Formats: sequence, C-alpha cells, structure tokens
Amino acid sequence: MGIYLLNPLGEEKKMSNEGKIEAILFAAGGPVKLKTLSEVVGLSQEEIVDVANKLKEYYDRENRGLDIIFFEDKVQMCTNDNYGEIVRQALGLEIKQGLSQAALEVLAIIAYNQPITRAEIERIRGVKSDKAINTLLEYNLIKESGRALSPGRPILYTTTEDFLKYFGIKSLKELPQIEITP
Amino acid sequence: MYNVKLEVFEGPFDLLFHLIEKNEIDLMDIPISVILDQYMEYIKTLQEMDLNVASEFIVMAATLLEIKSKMLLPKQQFEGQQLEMEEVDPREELVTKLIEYKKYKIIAQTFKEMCKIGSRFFREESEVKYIDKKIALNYSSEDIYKAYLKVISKNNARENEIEIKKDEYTVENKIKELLVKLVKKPFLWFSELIKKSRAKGEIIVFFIAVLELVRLNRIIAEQKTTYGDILIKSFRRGEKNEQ
Repeated sequence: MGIYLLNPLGEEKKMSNEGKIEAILFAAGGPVKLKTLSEVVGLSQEEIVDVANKLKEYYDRENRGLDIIFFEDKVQMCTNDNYGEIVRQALGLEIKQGLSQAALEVLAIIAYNQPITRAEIERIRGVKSDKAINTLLEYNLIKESGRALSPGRPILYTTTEDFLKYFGIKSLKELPQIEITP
Repeated sequence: MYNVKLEVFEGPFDLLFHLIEKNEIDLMDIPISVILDQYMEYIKTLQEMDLNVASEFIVMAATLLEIKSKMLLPKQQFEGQQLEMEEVDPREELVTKLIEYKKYKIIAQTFKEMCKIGSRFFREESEVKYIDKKIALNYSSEDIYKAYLKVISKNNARENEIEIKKDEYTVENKIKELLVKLVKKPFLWFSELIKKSRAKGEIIVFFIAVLELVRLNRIIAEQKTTYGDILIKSFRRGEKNEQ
C-alpha cells in the first residue's frame, strides 16, 4: 500500500492519486462526479473507483473517522458510522430514531416497485400507510415524482439519492435480491 | 387508549404471519379454522382501539370467514363429464397476498440492518474558503492605498451635504384626514381620497392608513375587482348601517 498522509517536511510537493481524491472530496463536501475526478486526476473512471476504494479500505483498516461511499456516478466522503454517536454529541444533533417497522416496510415496497402510488402500497400491506409515507418524506428517503394516469391522478413515489447514501447502495440495481420460498 | 399488545402488529397481514409462524403452518395449506379462531381471539382485544386501525383487522376477519365458509361447501363433482373444472382453492388469493407481503417484511428486516440514519453523516456542498489569487496578484499595495484615498476624499466631501428630510406624510395624519371625511359622508371612494394627492408617497401613506383603520375595526373597505376602486365605509359597532 502507498503512503496516504502528508509529505515529510522539506521535500518537494508530492502528490499521490489517493491524496488528490481525498483532497477533492474533502473540499467538495457534497457528492463529486466520477467524470470530474477522472478529468482532473487524469485517470479513467474505473481507476478512480479503484483508488477511491483503496482510500476507503485504508480508512476502514485504520479505524479512521471517515468513509467513502459510491452511488450512481458519484463519490462522496462521509463519516464512519461507528463514530455516529460521538459526532451527534459534538454537534448537538438530535438522535434520530431508526425507522419504524411500518416505515421500513413501506420503504421496501417503494424501493422495489417504484414509481408506486399510496393505494398500491396499502394494498400490499393491508393497512393505511400515511404516517409511514410522511415519515419517509420527512427523512427525504422518498419523494413525490409525478402522478399516475389512473383515475384521480394519484401521486407516485420513488426513492431518493439520500436513500442510496444511507443504505449504502450504488444504485437500485444493487438492492438485495430476496427469494421467497413459501 | 391503546392496547400495548396491539402495537406489535403492523396490520392484519402482520398478525396473520405471526399466527402462521407460531403454529408452524405451511403457507400453502393454511388450516383456516385454526387461524380464524386465534385471529378472532386477538380481535377481541381490539375493542379499545382506534376505529380506523381496528376496521382493517375486521375486514381481514371477514375475509377469513368467507374463505372458511367456501371451504365448507361440498365440492362439486363432475364425474363422467368431459369438462373438468379446475377447483380454485378459496385460500389462493389470500396466500398470494401473504407471500407478497412476506417478501417486503423480510426486505424491511434487511433494510433495518442496512440503514445508517443517525450514524452516518454527510456534508452538503461546502462553501470552500479561499483567496482568489487573480485578485491578490493584479493589484499592488499602492493601488489599494490610492483607492482608499479616493474613498476617503469622497466621504469627506459628502459629509456636509447630508440632509434629513422630514416625513411629509404620516399615517397618523392621514388617518385623521380620512376619519374627518367619513364624518361628513357615509362612504368614500379611495380614488376620491387621493384625488388631490400629487406625490406617490402620499398615496401610499393613505393606503396604509386605510389598512390600519380596517385592522382597528374603524372602517370597512370593499374592493369588488382586482385593481378596482376601494369603497370605504365607517364601521359602527352595534349600530345598524343603514346608508
């Protein structure tokens, strides 16, 4: 493995690809497109993913407070979730409770069937799901995206980019495959 | 109000699942009578519950009853007939729904483990603090000094010219003016009120005066159409407005 940290004093500026990506991700804060990184760093997008993954592995191995996530065609730096509690304390963040069973079920139904209307969700669950849908909207895990052509033009729901980020999946194609044996 | 036991189940499907798992029942061959009895047992505890939620459980109870009754009916025999009807299991529709629901229940469990809300933090696009080198390089300290002198001299020149204008129109005065007019006449058009006003400021202050008097319940203002003239009437509490 290469050296990831700063150069020793007095030497000429040395840059590693890991360092470049780390610096860009830190400064950007938000998601950065693979395309941008590829152009700036001068590597192919596949190589960028490789390098960023090395950085991610390094963070993981050394128990660093940072992590790197990939979603769609973007990369973003975030905190290592093992340190969640300490970050919450330091920033005085309210402890967001995990999602309720109902919210998780609704989210699962939306994730695998999007776009989907409220009525379809309720048909599958057999119960009213307004509250769960509102919670998910509030957490920005789902969003309204257009309306169905069926009577009443009901609102259609889809998952958001935040859903991918918080659930650590690159794209909807990566949703876990579930096989049901009755 | 809520029965603690009820919180466990997310709905009728969830309850059914619980019963099926508890009894180690094969989904493809559900003993409806057994399940129905246990289901009804549970429903009894629902009495205290929110009607909206309870009704969903009751609908399922009705469905189970319907299935049970269908299963009790003697099977039609088509012996000797060429046309052999395929018997549809009355439980089929329910089982299909249950399997579909089970799928999402399992996924929900996986999602619960995957979810990093409250433990993984992101930043939004950050505002990067930096010094633009172009600006820093193109100007010398002398340029900055000269620019500073210019600003100073301008300010000095202006210092003696500062003039504070007195408010020509005040809301207070306009209120008085308006009320005096309303004493003479039962009603007044806003256009009449501002007929002699030349300055825009005066018209604005008149308008504010009208709004203020409406707020204080001293007048009634009516506007029939957008951008139309405003009719102003005095508001007399307890009196009949017969004009």
